[in-house]
Amino acid sequence: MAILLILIPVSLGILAYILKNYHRKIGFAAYMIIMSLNTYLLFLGHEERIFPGGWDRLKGIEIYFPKEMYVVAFFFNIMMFIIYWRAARRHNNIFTSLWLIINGTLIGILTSEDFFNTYVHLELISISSFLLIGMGRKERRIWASLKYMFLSYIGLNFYLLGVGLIYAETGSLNLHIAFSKEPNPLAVSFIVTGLLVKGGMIFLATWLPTAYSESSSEISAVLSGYITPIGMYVLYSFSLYDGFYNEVKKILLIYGFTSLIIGAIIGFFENDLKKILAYSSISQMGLLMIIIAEKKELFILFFTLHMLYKSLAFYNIGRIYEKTHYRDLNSLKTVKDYDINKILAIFSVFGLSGIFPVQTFFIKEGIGIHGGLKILLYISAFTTAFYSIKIISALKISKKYYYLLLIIPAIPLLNYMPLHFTLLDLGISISALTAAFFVTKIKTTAFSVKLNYLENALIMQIFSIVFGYYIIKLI
Amino acid sequence: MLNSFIAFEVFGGSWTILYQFIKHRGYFNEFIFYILLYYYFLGLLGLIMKKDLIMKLFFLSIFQSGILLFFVILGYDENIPIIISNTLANNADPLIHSFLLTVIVIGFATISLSLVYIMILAEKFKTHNVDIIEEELEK
Repeated sequence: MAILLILIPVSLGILAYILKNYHRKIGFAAYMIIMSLNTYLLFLGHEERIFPGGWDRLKGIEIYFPKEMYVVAFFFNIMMFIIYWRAARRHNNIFTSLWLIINGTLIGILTSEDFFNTYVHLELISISSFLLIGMGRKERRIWASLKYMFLSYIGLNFYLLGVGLIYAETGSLNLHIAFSKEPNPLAVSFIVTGLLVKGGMIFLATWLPTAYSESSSEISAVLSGYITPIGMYVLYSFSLYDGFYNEVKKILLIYGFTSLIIGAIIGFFENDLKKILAYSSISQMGLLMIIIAEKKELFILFFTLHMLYKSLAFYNIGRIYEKTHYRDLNSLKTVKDYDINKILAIFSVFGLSGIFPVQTFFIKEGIGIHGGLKILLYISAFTTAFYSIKIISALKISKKYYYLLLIIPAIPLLNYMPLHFTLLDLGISISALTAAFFVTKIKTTAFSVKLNYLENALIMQIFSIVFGYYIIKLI
Repeated sequence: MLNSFIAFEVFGGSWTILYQFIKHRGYFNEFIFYILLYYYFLGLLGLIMKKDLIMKLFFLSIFQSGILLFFVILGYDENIPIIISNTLANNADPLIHSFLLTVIVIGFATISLSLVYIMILAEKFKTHNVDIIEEELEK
């Protein structure tokens, strides 16, 4: 029954393309059906394991619906429905069709238990998102999409090479069998690099800032909230197997901290609001990598929170840009209207900032890092606070009582999140906030390093494979 | 010379595992392995060196052909049809074949889409050069 969550949106998406006069009605009907089905499964559903065709693990493919998948899909469907509801009137049947197909495949990837299924879902998501980014046929969008296409294609080919090497040794594509012992280090390095290109690691995913900032508000919302973190989700689902996890842990820690800190610093120096948010996404992906390496229990919680907050921030800032054509921070300070969009953006950026009473602060503390790495986490508290306050201070709201919404990200999620922290953590967080108010007054210029060129990104990918291999081999 | 190249552990001996794997099968010539490596390096080198988008797509296809060839080697088994049956002790794995077919189809879709996008860009900028397009868009 759970498989209907994937099949209904995909099949209705195709129907919406054919019956173009009724595309919006079909879209809403699809959401009504899958949301009620998902609610039922969330409260009354059971875990399901399906082997299509009745083959065994060695020869067939495996689909598994865990309980946590229903939770992620529930929040994801709500997010997708709200964005679709706000955006559908501005678009035609092609948008509805692609939107529903991407919705189905994005749920589908949560269920795959083998390399084959994961690859097919990743490619389906990629092709739909290439088309969605390029919608409107503006040159900038087309170029952003093309860059994404090249890099993602190479990345997924590396993934295939890794899968092939593992298959050569174990004879199966199933994760249970492939990761039953520690796999070939080069294969792991190939797979991790391929997935990090999709998953928004700094220096590898150089498609990300352009694709986020050029695509329209609704598409950048789903890109940042779900499509990029799905690369991390795949890494997480692989890391549930000890064979893979033991090898990949060190790589993820090193890459995670690099992405977390450097992403935030580059983001702080940017003056384009959408680009700051894009780099903040890169930074948050670093945190996701650290969570996979250190405390996997918090992954689903942070994944869901990030999805909701980041998509809300991107959608609202995108809407302000589409209405005013201002993206520059200084120009945005002069805009007086659009209070609702602004407060929603502020509240979601604040939710991800990791400043003291916010949920992400407790998640960061809950990872349980000690020693030298904790210092890096403290540094990241500063860098994250800097760009967050920079965004918040640029969006001026006329009605002050709207700021009451800032309480929402501070509501403790009891039973789901550890709430312990030390006085030092609290002190660092408050000093980061105070420092941020002074630092945001500094005028910055964006880094002009040409990281976005395709060739550099490719060289970085090859470097990452060799680097990852030697980390596994030597450390 | 190529043997010493592999022994040099550019990729730390993992390629030699694959090499031995292919050699172990017996029926495949070592030659195939060299073609495989040639495809990967040629494809990646071309992708990095060439500035023309269409040329980049050519090399992308070459790179993927290397991967497809790799999967062909993995799935190939001498004189045996793709049948799963209890009476046949040795058989080719059908899953890897279907995986290979999926990779081909998806590769075809992505490359066709890239061509359409390159066509749209070329209409606007009258060039296929990556650097010129980037510079034009930065203005």
